[in-house]
Amino acid sequence: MKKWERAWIGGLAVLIFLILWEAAMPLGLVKVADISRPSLVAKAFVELAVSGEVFQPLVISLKEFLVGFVLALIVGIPVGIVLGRYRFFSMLFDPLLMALYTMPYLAIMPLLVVWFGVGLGATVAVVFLGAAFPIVINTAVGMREVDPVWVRAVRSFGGSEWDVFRKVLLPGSVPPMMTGIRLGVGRGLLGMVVSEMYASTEGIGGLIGLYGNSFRTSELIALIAVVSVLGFVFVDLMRRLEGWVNKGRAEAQW
Amino acid sequence: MVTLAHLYRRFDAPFLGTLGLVAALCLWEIASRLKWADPILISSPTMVAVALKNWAVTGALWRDLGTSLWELIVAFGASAVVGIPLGVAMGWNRPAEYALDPFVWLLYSTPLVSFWPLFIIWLGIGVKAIIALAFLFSIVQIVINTMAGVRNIDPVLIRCARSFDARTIDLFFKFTLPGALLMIVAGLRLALGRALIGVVVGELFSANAGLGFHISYYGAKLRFGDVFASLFVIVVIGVATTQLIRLFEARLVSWKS
Amino acid sequence: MVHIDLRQVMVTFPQPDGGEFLAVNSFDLKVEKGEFVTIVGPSGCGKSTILSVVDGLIRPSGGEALINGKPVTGPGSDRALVFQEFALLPWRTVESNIMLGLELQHKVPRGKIEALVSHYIKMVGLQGFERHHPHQLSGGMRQRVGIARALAVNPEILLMDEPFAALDAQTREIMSAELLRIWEQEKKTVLFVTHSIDEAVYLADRIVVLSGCPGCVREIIPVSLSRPRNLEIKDEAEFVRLRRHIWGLLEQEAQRQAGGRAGS
Ligand SMILES: Nc1ncnc2c1ncn2[C@@H]1O[C@H](COP(=O)(O)OP(=O)(O)O)[C@@H](O)[C@H]1O
Ligand SMILES: [Mg+2]
Repeated sequence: MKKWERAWIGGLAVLIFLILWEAAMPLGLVKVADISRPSLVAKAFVELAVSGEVFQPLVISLKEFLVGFVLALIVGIPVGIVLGRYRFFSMLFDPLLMALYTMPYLAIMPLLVVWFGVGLGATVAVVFLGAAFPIVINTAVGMREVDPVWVRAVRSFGGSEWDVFRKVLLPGSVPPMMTGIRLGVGRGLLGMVVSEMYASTEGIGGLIGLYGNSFRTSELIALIAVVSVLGFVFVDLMRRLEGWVNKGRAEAQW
Repeated sequence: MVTLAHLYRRFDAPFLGTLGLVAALCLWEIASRLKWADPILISSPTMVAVALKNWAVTGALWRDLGTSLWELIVAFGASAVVGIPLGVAMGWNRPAEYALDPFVWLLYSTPLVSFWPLFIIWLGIGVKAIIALAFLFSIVQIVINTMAGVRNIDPVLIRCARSFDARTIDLFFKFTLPGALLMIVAGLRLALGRALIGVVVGELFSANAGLGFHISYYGAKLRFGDVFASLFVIVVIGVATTQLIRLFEARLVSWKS
Repeated sequence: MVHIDLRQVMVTFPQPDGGEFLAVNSFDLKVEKGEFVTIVGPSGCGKSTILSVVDGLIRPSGGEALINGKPVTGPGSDRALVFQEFALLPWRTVESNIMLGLELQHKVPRGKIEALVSHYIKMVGLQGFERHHPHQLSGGMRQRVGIARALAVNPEILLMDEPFAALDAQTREIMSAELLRIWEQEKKTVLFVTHSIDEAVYLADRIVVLSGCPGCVREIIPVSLSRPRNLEIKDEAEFVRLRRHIWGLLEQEAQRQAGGRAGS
């Protein structure tokens, strides 16, 4: 009973929202061209899916995102580990990294387009920039904030520096690293859509720009829903992974 | 005796940090001067400084700055006015949380920029659409933080309030709200950064003034010194406004230190 | 005259899987007006739950809880709780934390609150710390604030849930001596939960020893040590005898629990 409360109240709220939205136009509150209606959006969605128009851009977008994101992982985690492990490097690079992190990575879109070319290059670059910073910073912070008691415990049992690194620092920094990766997913996806809307007609963002320019509201909202679901799936996946990693540890303590 | 080694050990962090920054700037300048890469494409610190000076001298800087700041303040202010009550309602009242939860989480995980074309259709190209985008970027963060702050109040304090038979209104104003205040202000700080991104992206897409416009305008003309000058100003705004809120936060937690 | 009367009190908590968890089972206790009763028992045996029932925070699922012969229907200004975690508002000063209960109960006019607060600040020995915030105080001082806050609403019954458990051993002794001094002045009825056998014997008129089975009373032990007491009393033969007796009762429990855990 209590368990389902969240689900049914949430479901009811969404339903009411959809009904109001559907009714707004017949009631003459707004023009249909402006806000469309859920039924029209659903129809547009089905048409986009049936004609297959949405799939190729989706594949392109996913490819761009994954390339940029995997690059961010490959570069970000080792850099984070080095910065977290060696005080010298972190002191040398922290202010520089912070200055770059403060800069809105989306704002350098026009530069990326020139440097890496419209399309794949610029999008991969902006996804990489968006995702890499939180990964680097959270990994480094995670390594630094591992409880020193554990480090002392390993040392007191005669463990080597390598043991300390492998048995304490690395596993200890996993939860913050996961948080960084989750933040990186959100920023990467945002970068992907911005890049595609800004510079190219490719990808799901390009499609959104296209339908936006021709004022086709129903298709536009259907596409926003697609992007929305995409974001939700990725973020939820990361959250589950995070929860799973943390749960594994909580149990491992006993 | 104070030796150089002592001094170094005492001040190594700021020393090395500054060294890192300066070295990066020098490397950039040298790469440009020695044409390791095309100076037009990578610009250089001196070119940026010159661009910044010219921008300020013509007075265009102040107009662009004013435009962007105005959009930022309106969007951020509106999102705080709407977002804090929403977040409080969600944190305070379970059914309200359950009802609004799907919308908040959907917005939280959506790349919000995809709403941009809708804003253009509804509000026309220009300041209004930019403010709407920045508002959306900002409000999600405010709602989430406020809700968490209200929700995460120490249960033993609630038990204390109930033990004294506190009225609901006292529970709210004497326990919940002061307990959540820090989280709310931290949310505002994060939201301000997001609002700034919203403003810049909106201006990048469509504007005839503002810092983002300055970027896309000179980006198209390949005058990257001016682009970097604009980025520099954006970073300054971001850091300055964030520090302002941090100062406020520090005053709020005076009871902690 | 019987002040607190618990008759066959039973408390169950609903569990996530839909079942019920029995936290207190048919608990019987009568406390006289002005009496100091301590409750000792292994953790998880329902001590806090019993205090919550008396305070009116939890309604018993069975049996009844009477105060002055009337059933408890909810929290009231005749009872006040002192918490193990102190439960002070970190953003309020000492002074305004002590005011809290008075403010929440809206009974004493604003003008009189000041005088009351300074009276209780003096009683718990916090003069000079009125404007300090909780984080600036030691644990012992924080609990002095908690006690003053409870006393300030002038309750007839003081409910104390392991109030000194978070303090170091020495502060603990000082605080219990202080508590007795205050109690001699105020003559409240006190229900005091603790883990420490020494504390239980030192403070009590009667000691309720609970066993591990949910809230079962193992034994109720009257303490005949004379009052007012000071810390030297802990060397007296009677004190030592009581301590050994209770230790014996609890040891069986502890061994049963430890054995149970090792087996699982
Ligand atoms: N609100 C609650 N919901 C479910 N179980 C609870 C709740 N409060 C206490 N319990 C359970 O009831 C038992 C007794 O708790 P408590 O009275 O706090 O024990 P004590 O204070 O003696 O350590 C414990 O096993 C505890 O887990
Ligand atoms: Mg307890």
